[in-house]
Amino acid sequence: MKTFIAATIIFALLCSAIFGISSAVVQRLGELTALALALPEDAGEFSPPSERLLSQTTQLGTLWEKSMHFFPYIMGYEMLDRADEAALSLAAYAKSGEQAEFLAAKTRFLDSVARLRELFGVNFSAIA
Amino acid sequence: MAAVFLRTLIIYVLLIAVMRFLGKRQIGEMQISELVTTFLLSDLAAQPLVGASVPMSYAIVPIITLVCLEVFFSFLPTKIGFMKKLLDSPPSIIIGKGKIDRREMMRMRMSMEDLICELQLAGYTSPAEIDYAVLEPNGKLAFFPADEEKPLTKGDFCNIRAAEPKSLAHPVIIDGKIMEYALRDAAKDKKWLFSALKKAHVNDVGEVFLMTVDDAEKTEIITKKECGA
Repeated sequence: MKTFIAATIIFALLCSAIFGISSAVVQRLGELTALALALPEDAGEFSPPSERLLSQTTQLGTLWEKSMHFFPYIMGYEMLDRADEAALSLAAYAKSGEQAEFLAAKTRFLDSVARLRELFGVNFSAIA
Repeated sequence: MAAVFLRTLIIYVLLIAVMRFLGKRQIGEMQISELVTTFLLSDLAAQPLVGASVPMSYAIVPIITLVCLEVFFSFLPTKIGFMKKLLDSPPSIIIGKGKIDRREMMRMRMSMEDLICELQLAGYTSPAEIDYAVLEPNGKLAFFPADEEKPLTKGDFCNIRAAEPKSLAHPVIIDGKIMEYALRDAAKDKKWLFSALKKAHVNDVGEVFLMTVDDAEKTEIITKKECGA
């Protein structure tokens, strides 16, 4: 009976932890998506790179780096690689003012984050 | 390198803890679900050790989940009747009163060769030496030799044991639950069961911890009060 009670408590704690962690991950990915969507796309922002472009890209990069402290405990590095590479590209292309590459990196980042959100959120589509 | 070392330490400690949690039964006589769980546990534990890109949570979460489920599914059948029916297969009498039950053998997908092999491993040469052979839920065969094949005991010398032949005791009530399969094996029904309980001054099935009946209709009742259950 003691083992059963202990197992029930552990199972409840595990379920709560999974739900809590998944919610935190989804929330963080939501913040990253919002920041990425707000990145400027106009040609005028790139030659030379505007203050707004650089600060928003830095903000996104900082949040992504912060997220990389706990994301690897939940998802594998292979899952994070695509988004990580896109985040680094965004910072590099913002500094160099290459609009076309920047926009491609932005699309890649948004797509990677959307995939992670689907896979690590609490939803049944992630089972696939 | 250090990460692999630390991961191995963590997984080892976790595995020892969960195996301890599963209990002693895990080491020796495993049921089907326990066997499956053990295989899965070993495979899951190996994942983060061999793949650096696999996060620890990929092993920890399923290991804890499996162990909790294993505890639930081994505990619940002892308390809920229909869960027992659903999850545990009852013991099968392969040889009863010295006669081989071929239908039961076929149902258990057991060949005569298998039976002979088990008999020989248990030290018998022929099924004729056996009064009862019971295939237990853990897959092991229990043999009850015929009286003339039983080894002599101190009790026999002192003539303490009755001369009457012994038969298999069917556990018709376990922990307050009527075991339908045992009643069937003993060729008894609930009407007989309730009258036997009444004779023994037991008013409710729930009061009984263990009740057995053998083929000579000899009943033994241990109440929960007696054993402190």
